[in-house]
Amino acid sequence: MTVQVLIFGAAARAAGTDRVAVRVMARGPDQDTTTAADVLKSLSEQHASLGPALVGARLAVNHQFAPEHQPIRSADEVALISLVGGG
Amino acid sequence: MIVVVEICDGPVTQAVERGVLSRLEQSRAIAPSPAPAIAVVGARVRFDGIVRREEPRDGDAVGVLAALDYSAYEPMAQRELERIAREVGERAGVLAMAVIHSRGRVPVGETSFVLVVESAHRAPAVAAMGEFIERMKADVPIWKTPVWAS
Repeated sequence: MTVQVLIFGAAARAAGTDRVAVRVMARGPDQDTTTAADVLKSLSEQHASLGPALVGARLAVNHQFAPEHQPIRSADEVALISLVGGG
Repeated sequence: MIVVVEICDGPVTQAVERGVLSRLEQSRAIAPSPAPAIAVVGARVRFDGIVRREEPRDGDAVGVLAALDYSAYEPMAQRELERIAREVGERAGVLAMAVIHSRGRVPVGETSFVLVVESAHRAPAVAAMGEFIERMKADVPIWKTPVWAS
């Protein structure tokens, strides 16, 4: 399955885009489920330019931080939350 | 407690701040047990985040900034600001928190972040202010990009 991941800040500048697609092993009976940990792992394997931005990064799924085992489906809105720096 | 959050375009101006503080007063007026601020608020602390001219650049070197560009992942940024304000404020026992953060370009010397905390006594407001800022810098999806002067 393919998951679209929104990216921001330095990660977006490094990749030259505001979203990337990652291919991940599909799980579950519908073959449309993966996990946050699998998406992060696939990001590092398939998008080398994101390397520095992945240090300490988390995923948000549908606008909430996702623990590593949280299921993700292809229709979910997934965002890479690299180290933030508001203020 | 009352929480008011706004993410505004460009610097935090006095007009933006007046609007947010007006919303805070409106919320106070319709609270379950409305009380005028003068009856309950004994401390109000305020933090202004201002874009400074010098920032680290290329390791140990210092660069001269023209501005910072802020990008926010919305609506998550707004929700996280609200969630953190409520968690921190309720634990500290404050009465109200107002948060304003910029998106887009903020020139050097301009304000990009304002936090106002009200409580009955000094200690809760002071404690909540520090904790909120630390958590904001860790968890709120807002990023800043330097715009160098040269």
